[in-house]
Amino acid sequence: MMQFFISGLVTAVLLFCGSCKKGDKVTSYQIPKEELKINVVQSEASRLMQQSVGRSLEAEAETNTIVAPNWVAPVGWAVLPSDALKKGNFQVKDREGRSVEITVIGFQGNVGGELANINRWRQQVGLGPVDADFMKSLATTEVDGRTAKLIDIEGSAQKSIYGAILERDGQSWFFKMMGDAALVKKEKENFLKFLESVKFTK
Amino acid sequence: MGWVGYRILPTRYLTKLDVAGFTELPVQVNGRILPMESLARNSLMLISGRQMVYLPEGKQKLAAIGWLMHLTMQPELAAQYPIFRIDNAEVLSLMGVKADGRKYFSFNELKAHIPAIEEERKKIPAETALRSVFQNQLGCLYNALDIYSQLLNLLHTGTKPSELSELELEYANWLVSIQPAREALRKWVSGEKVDQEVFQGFFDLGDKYGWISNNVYFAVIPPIERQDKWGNAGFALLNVMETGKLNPVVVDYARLVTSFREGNITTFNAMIKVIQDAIGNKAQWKKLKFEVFFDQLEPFYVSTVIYLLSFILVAISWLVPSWNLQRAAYWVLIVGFVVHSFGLGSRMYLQGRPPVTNLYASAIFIGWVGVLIGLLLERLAKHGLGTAVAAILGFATLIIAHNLGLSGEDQLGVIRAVLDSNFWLSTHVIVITMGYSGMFLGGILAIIYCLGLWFNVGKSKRETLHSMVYGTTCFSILFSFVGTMLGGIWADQSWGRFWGWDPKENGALIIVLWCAIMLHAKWGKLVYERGFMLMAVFGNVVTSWSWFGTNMLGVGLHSYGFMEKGFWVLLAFIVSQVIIIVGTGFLGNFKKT
Amino acid sequence: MHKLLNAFSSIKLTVVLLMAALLLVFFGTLDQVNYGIYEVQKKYFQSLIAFWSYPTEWPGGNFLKHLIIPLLSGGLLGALLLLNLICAHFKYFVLSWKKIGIALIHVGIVVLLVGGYLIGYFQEEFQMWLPEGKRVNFAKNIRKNELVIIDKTDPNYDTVWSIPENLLKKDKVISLPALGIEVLMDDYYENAVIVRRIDYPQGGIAKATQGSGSKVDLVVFPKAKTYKSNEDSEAAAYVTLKHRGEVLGTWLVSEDERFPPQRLDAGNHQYEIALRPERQYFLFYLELIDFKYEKYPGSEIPKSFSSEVRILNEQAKTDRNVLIYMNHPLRYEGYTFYQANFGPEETSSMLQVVKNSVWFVPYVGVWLTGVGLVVHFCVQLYVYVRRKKEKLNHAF
Repeated sequence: MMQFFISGLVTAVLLFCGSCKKGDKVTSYQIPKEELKINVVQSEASRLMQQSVGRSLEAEAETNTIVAPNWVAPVGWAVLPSDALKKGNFQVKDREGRSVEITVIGFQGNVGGELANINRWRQQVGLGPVDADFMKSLATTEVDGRTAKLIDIEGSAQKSIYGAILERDGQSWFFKMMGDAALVKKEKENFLKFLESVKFTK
Repeated sequence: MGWVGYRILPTRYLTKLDVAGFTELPVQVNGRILPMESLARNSLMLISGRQMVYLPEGKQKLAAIGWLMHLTMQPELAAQYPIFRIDNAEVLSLMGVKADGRKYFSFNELKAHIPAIEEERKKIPAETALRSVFQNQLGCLYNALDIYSQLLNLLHTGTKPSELSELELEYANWLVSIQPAREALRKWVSGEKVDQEVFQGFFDLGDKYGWISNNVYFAVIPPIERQDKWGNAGFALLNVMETGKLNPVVVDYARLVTSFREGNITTFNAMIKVIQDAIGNKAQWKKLKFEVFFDQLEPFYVSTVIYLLSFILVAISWLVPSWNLQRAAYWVLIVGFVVHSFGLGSRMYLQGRPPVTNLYASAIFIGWVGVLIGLLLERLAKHGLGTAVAAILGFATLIIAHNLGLSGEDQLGVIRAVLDSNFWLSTHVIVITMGYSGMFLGGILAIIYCLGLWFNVGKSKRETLHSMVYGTTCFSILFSFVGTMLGGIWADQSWGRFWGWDPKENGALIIVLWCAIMLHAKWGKLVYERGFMLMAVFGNVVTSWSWFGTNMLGVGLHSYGFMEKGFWVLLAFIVSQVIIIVGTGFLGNFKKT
Repeated sequence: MHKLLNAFSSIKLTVVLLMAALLLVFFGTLDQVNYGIYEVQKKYFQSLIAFWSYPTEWPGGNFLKHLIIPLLSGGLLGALLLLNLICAHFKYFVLSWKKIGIALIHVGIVVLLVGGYLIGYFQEEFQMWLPEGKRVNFAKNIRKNELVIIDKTDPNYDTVWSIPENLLKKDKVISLPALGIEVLMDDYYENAVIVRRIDYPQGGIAKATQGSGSKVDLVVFPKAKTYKSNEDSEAAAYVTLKHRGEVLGTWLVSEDERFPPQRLDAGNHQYEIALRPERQYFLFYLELIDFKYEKYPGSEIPKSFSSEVRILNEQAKTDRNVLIYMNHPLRYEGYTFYQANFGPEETSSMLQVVKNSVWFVPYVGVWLTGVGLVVHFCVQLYVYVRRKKEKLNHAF
């Protein structure tokens, strides 16, 4: 009999322990002074907002401080509406229905670096990535007195990209012409002229 | 024995071409250096589901290595071979082919449809659970095509047959053009007028080499300096821009290719020797030779056949006792066991690891332990039961292993960091696998018992079976429990959690629980002989759930992905066991013995 | 009473309870596909009773989804098994050397079961992210959140007031009398997406009058909690603060790591408010010197991960480097640090931190059961051999 009650008590205690909850009170403690910024560490969650290139929310509010430069669009470039991301947006269509799109996008910071962005562009036209070694053979051009990398990618399935990546004063500017390969080739001269006309105001 | 011996002969080829030398050439894949023979067999397995090519004319068979040689050195010929296995009707219709019973297609037939295949592939969802049958099969075809295209550039950078005849010239031109191209580039950047032609050609080649460098994951060119990473021809040629030197092996392979195309046997054989010397001690030639021998012997296939033969002999011995075939069956089993053991031992030698490192290896080991225990049982009881059970288990597990190997994955591959502990691999994994063996042995013995009930087999035989199964159950609970505990200790040492409720851990726990239920039910007289045996048959269900079912859930640390065909086979097996249990359970005219 | 004792010590009960355990583990495993390992652990193995329902995705799902199977869960089942085992031993205990093996085995199992409970109660697990070159003195409990109000007034140290997740329920009021602050929970979302109003003009909940929520004009879209292993639920909340009765405003707080710290002033003190995974602070710092990720040559298969970490403990005057890698954790100050993960570009390393004062209990259980099994096997073998000898003797 005694044994029964003892064993019953033991199990009851364990049951109680197992189901009782901890952490129902407010606690306080002291820690050495911490830095202003909370550690920003990349976690693996996919989030809706990640599409706007994941920076702090207040910095996003400062996107408006990314001021677009002035430029002169060549004749034949139809102006498309710009948005918060695309500061400049143009389209060229020829009689055979082929088209290319030109965009001007600016970001704070280096957005992953040149190699990552070139590989991103390569992927967009169905090509595999290159590594840093191959990058050394890239041509350059001048945009508003600063050196920009000139990218000429002939992709698969008749799609090409011709563009320039400019790093300037802590900002990255992407000038990209993408679309039908033949038309891209035709518009290369216009594109270079467009680049020459770019002038930053700040 | 002659049949076994035939498989050991290194060259079954009747030409004077040094095919044997070619089979031993090293390739680095996924961190391991393997011989061409293994690469050929694994690749063909992935593409075709078998290790031979059946040529349409005259039903000729081409060995995997022959196929690889044609693919790498005479692609226009290889493109005609029907090697791509397609079973799914929807995939066939994508290419405008009716499902008229043909299963194998050549690259030439698929070429035109590659863009369509790529389009469809983009729509495949990332989560395996969300994929339809069509998407799974299309994914497989895409992988096969990917491997095919990578292998095209295994030995060289040629993309058209015409380029293959001019490889050395192309490489020489490249080397010569690097300096002038650099000069031209410098001039262009500083604004001087430059002849575009000079570096257009250079950039075209560079682009091609860059693509090969990044997309061909099979590396035949050893590193020049003291490094570990091998490369492909594209990588080596690009590297010249930095190091100024071209690894001579690149040119040697080019010459090998051209000599093969020209049918120049002497040069081909000479180049094989040159390449072997050039690679030198960067590869372990003895191990490569041994692996080729192991590949060509196909020991697990051989033992599968021998086990089947042994079982047939035992079955006949029961039906016609006067022929005295039980001894023969026993010795045939031993031969099979020796070959099986050789295969297992070879795997350990080649991988440098304990025997069980992946699911495929576990199947081979379960069979091996089962046969060993069966041989012991036969020595104790001598009814032919031990031989029968060993043969069945050996045969079944090797068939399962073969099916697991159809993925074409390198079954001797390297082990990922989180599993990298020879100590735990040789303790926890081995012990638990032995527990699985015990359960299956008991289950098979119990099935024989059930058949015995149906066919009015004598009481003493049934009692023998009963005590055998009692023995295997005690064995299983011991090993399964100890193995599970060892797993817990490993987990605690590795990430601080003794028990994580991982599906595979749960599966092992279920085996232990089922054994405990069986034993306590017997000791508490809740079941008698027949009940106990029926529970043992259910043990098959429990063990196959733990071994395979848990992997198919796609959850937790042990998930290896959803093996579609495997799911239906598992389900069919479970249903079959349940039918046996229910059927034998309701055999009304037998009293509870 | 005797009847009850008999019932509880019967072997039939053992079989029934073991069957119940088998079913529990099986159905729990099936549910892991939908809810993940952690949730299933709570629902099936640490509770008292659980209900498994036929998933609608399975064949005949729409018809069979009403099939609900009640199961005795780990908490209750474990207790009953213990009761059964102890009762049976008291009733049938016969001091016989033949049975000593079995006794040891059962004692070992008792220890394992008890250990399971103890570990469930005492073990704490955290994650610690170490960015290269930075010193970190805390780890995060990813299963529990906390709302913190940090008093930043003092130039030398911060005082953290932590409100555990259990108290963060809608409309609940939490007082912090020492600060004169009252926290009113307007809303608490277990998982939510926060976006800017200008991107999403329609829908969402916007209640913030202070802080980033109001400055950047953010809205909250609550989501269902996610159980996928590669996704995190990000909690958010609207919190209204009152200082000595006066309403200071409503803040939006979120687990989202991109939320900058939100400051406020009240009663000559400067405070910071945030919602974050519960932190465990240590009296020492860890600094990641270097993280190495070795792959097999020519492949992406990981060969080894290792973190070279510097331990800085001012009080104990410790300043030394250690190497933490697979199967070789750091044991320090009652915590064990395991190499668990790493960040992009290999510039940060994550350590799994475990505090478990009863870690040894399963080892004791395993040891006892192991010895018991060996002893029992030897005893059985001896008895078997002796019986065979007797048989042979009788035969002559």
